[in-house]
Amino acid sequence: MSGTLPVLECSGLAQRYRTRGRDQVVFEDLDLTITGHQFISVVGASGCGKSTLLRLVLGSERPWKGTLRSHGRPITHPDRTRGIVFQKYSLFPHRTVLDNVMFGLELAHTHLLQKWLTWPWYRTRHHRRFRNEAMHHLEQVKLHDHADKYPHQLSGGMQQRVAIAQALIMRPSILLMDEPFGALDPDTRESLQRTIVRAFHDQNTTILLVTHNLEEALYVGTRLLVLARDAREPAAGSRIAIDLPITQSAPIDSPGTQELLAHVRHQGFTC
Amino acid sequence: MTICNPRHRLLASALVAVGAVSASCSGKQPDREAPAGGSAVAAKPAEAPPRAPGREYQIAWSVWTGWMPFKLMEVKGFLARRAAERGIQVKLVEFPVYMDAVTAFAAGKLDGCALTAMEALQPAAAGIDTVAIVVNDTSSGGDGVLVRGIADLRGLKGKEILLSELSVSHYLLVRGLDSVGMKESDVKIKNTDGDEAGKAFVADSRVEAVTTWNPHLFQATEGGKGKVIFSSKEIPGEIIDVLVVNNTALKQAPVLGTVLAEAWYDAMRAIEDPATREDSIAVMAAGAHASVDEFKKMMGGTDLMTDRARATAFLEADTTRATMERIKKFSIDHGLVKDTHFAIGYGAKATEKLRFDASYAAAK
Amino acid sequence: MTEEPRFRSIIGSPLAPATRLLLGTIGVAVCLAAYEFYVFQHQRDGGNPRFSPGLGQLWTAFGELTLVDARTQTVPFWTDTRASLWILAEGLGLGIAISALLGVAMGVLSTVHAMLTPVVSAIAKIPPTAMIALFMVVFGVTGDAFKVALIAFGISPTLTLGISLVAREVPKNTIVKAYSLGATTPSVVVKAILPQIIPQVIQMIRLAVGPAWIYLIAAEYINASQGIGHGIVLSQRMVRIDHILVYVIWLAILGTAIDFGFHWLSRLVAPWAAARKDD
Repeated sequence: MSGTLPVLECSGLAQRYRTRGRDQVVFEDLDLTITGHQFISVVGASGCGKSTLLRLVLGSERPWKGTLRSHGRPITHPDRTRGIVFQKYSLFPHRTVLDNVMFGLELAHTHLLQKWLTWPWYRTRHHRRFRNEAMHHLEQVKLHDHADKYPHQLSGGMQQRVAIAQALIMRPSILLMDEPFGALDPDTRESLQRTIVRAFHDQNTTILLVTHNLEEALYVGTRLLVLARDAREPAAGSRIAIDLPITQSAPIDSPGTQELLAHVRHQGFTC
Repeated sequence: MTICNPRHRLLASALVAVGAVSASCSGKQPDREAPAGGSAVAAKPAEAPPRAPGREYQIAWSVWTGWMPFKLMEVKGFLARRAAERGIQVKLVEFPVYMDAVTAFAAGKLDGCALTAMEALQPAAAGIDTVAIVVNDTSSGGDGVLVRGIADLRGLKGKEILLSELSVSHYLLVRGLDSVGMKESDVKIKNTDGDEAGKAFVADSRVEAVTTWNPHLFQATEGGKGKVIFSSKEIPGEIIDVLVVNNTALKQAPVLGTVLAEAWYDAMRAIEDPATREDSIAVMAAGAHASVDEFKKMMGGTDLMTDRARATAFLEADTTRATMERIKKFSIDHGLVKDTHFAIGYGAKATEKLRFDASYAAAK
Repeated sequence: MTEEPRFRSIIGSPLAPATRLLLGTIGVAVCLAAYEFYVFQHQRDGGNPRFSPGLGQLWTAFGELTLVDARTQTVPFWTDTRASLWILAEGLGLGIAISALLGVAMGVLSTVHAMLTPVVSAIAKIPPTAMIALFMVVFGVTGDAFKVALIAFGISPTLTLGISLVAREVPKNTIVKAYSLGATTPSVVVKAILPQIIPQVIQMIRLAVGPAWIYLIAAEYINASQGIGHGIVLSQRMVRIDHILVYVIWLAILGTAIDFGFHWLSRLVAPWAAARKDD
């Protein structure tokens, strides 16, 4: 392991937002390192900055202070190495399910102009290959029967499954998920949690999942991160209150888990 | 109030555009021959409703060299005096847009109108009973085909020429093309207001050919910008301006014709008389919004029929009849007159919808 | 098998397509009947029939207009229609091209947006009819250039602002998603932003056709050798109100056909948008 750079390295990360002339501190001086095959669940109540953290890692937001690096390279904007599944509006409405999943492949392998200028060649050589690969990923999320449907014809849970396939097909070094199952009903949520865990084991990818649901966090993750504000110093922003590994198969009412939960609350951290 | 939804914004701007277009169309634009939207008028009965004697008779005219004597009639009181003598009231109405006057007269809203012989067919074709009582003038160089970079009429072949379609300018061009054996389809006619065509020729060197009238003709030639390859000088006596009166009004008040004729020739005398000539010209020039010098030049291209005897004879002369036949053929060919059997009458006894009657103009 | 819910509310209750068609036809028929009644009344009160042509007269007038002109061996009505449609297409094409270029640039790049929005908004307030004289001077009165320019000028500002607006309203998540799948900025614009705004842009173009006709007819009124506006001017010169009304009705028909064409185009190019609206 020595010599390989961490998938993610944040140090001294700080973010604040300016609202009505006053700076609102989200967090100050956050440090986080992710190496290797980890599934990090980030929890915290609303307003703790977990989505902010995710956006900073993604690169769609710039931090107030601090550095973010992925494989030693600074993170400046979203790119192929960091996949994302949003809670809403994740898919391209103008493309079918299959086309959505193929989107990244097309971008990676052909330049726009090249594709247009050499359409017959492109079709025979690349397109079929992309199609097959996309269908394979759709089978993994059990949506291959809906390949030619448009996103609006699918339910919320099905759309999220497509989004997962769309992101994973690119084999990102880290997959970011921003409360991906928050808008879904409990049954669908459970099904998708199982899907993502399976995908995590099948592909050697790192996953960072943000959720406000502690049970979910414990079920899917291998490492738990809790962001919380100190009740005694509300203006100081959030901190990583807890950063512990999770034994994968620990159910919610096991003594270990309950102990963990009590520990969080006992520390007096609130959000 | 800002409209955020792009669809609503577009709709609102479309509505504003409609409002602007209809507002600009219905306003009277000075010196433009393009008929304004206001000329599609609600119809009036073809017969003027019976009115009490002593109603005011309205005679329309518009600014043109040959019609400036109307201004003289008004300013010097010739019309008022003659009307008072005969016990009727006559009012002159100046129309900024010539075609509006024609349309109003053709709709039966006016008792008389100063028209070119071509437009004189229109009210009759629309069913109004009309009589041409006085010939005002004929164009003798005042209308012409103005070109740059073209040697003669034959050089017009395939070129675009701006003129007021279906007007005397159009007729002039066709006469010119006929004279060299060309057809109308040999040139590309583009409809535009005659004054605008003249101004465009002077201002824009991309314009190759126009048919227009003075002052644009001499402004262009004097400025070295173009030359006139065909004008009304070549067809003297064919572009005629006449005063036409609604026959219904004449029946109600037969003296109307006499009053108008007498007042007109009062004005003619004032112009001819060396003592009053300069003053008369000054009045007319002022009414035409032109300088005295410019107006004198314009008069040079117009044969103002000041000689009463000559004018009276001209009204029913054979040459005039032949010209009217030519004008009638042009109008029928171009759809201005639908009825191929449209006839023009001459003399006091004639009964056609348009007749030339010299009895009013004849000196009594 | 699910049944359509049976609405008891008056507001917005759905109609069967057949009912819609029937009611629409009745609406048109009522208008025509009202017009005929006006004509009848007008002529009964002694009005000049030239100024109130009935439907029968209008049909005859249409017949006249579609006769072959002996002097040119063509039917002016169709050559005029073709000429006007051609200029309309050129003007629309130019206007759409300018608006698409500027609108997308403004929609995607904040600096361009900040710089151009005040200018474009101000120009949008200028009624194009006020610019007719200026355009005639700049583009010349020979040829049809000034008409095409007038149409393009008339529709561009509003269309530009509209395109930039919808481009900015594309869900940010889709843009970030595209980047995270490896897209370069040009790819994001072409593959993520543009396809999502196409249906709305087509709608806006559809709305721009109306004003485009207005500017075309206004321009043809003033300076043209052919075209529907030119035909109307000549008809006015001849005091043929029946001809004018035929042209007017023809314009309504043409406009409706073009509108329908765009509706069909939208469904063809972006079936996903139309379907989405239906549910």
